Amino acid sequence: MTERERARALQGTRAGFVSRVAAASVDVLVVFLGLLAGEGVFAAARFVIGDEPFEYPDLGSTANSSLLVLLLVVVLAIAWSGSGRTLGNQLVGLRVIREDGSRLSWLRSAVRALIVVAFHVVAMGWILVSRKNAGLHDLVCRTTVVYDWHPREAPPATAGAESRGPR
Amino acid sequence: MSATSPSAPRAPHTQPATPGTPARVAVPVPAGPPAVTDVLRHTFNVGMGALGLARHALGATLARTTTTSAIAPPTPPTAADLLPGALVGLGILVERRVRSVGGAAVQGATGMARSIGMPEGLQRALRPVEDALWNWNEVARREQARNRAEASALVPALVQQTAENVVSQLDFERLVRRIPVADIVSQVDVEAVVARIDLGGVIRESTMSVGSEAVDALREQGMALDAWGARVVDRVLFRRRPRQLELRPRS
Repeated sequence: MTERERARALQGTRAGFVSRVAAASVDVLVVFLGLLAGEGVFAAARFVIGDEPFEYPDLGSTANSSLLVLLLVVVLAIAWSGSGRTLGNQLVGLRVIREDGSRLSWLRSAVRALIVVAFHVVAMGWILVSRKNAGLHDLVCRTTVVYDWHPREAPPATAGAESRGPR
Repeated sequence: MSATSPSAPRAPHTQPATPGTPARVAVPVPAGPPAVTDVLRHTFNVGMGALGLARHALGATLARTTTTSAIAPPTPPTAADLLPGALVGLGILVERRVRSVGGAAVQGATGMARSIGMPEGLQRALRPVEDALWNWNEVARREQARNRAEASALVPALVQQTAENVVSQLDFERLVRRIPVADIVSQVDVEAVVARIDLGGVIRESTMSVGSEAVDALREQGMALDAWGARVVDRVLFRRRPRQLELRPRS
């Protein structure tokens, strides 16, 4: 069985530790970059409107961390209660669903996000030892994360690029 | 094939043993080069086989040819247009009538002859002639089948050998030099050709394809690492049963 066939066979099953940590890392990075961009926009607006020098706001480490955590919880809750995918999930090909396969409510998503952000090491580390690849947040909220992407057919080796006419 | 055929195995040349001396080993005499008659006969056989093949091919082609009777004529034909066809049809009808009359006559004559019967002596006298006719017919049938098989094996080899000889005689460099490449290129509107190619679309499509392949490979690697990590942990924890990765069906 090739890797592609194996991936196709595993669709809809519970995702493991590496994929989920990779997706979570992408999410944290995206939120961090978003926070940086937001602060940059704030500094630019202050520079344009308030006639002050352009510099990033100095909120201090505690305020910055709290803002990052808050933003992370909000982003994760919105994404999970909507399509069930964050940007990291989309990239790695995962989807968060309930144990019965249905989508998460807004409240369940928020609680799940709070737990995973507050106890991230334990929550994610539990995936390794769980028989169902469940993290702490999955056990509390009765959710799971499954592989959900469409493996494409491998392109033929001899296929040549065809020139296309005007469209 | 008769015993006098040159291709038939000849009897081994033996030397009689004299009394008191050991018998010599039989030494086969090698066949001589084919004579002109052999070549002519072989050519005739192959030609007959080729004719048989051609007849079959023609018959198959005619059988595949669709009739155009279902196609309605665009305009009604005049009497002059119908004349040639009418003549041909008349000829066919006459031929059919003559053939049916001839067949009926032959059938009647045969029946009459059977009813009359031949004398026993005449039948016995004609039996060898009839047997000879049967034998000759059987020989002709077998020979023709063999000739046809030989021709079907020979014709493709002959065509390939001919083609190879022709190609080997060609001076490709000289032929290519005689092609006015510069004139041809000068007549090509390169800008129009480039304008007709959706270069952006080609680049966009190929880039998206490469990107999708890379993402798929990344996902596959993640799945493989998931399985590997779970296997390692389960081994450390001395687990024997595999993990329950399937979801319960929705109730």
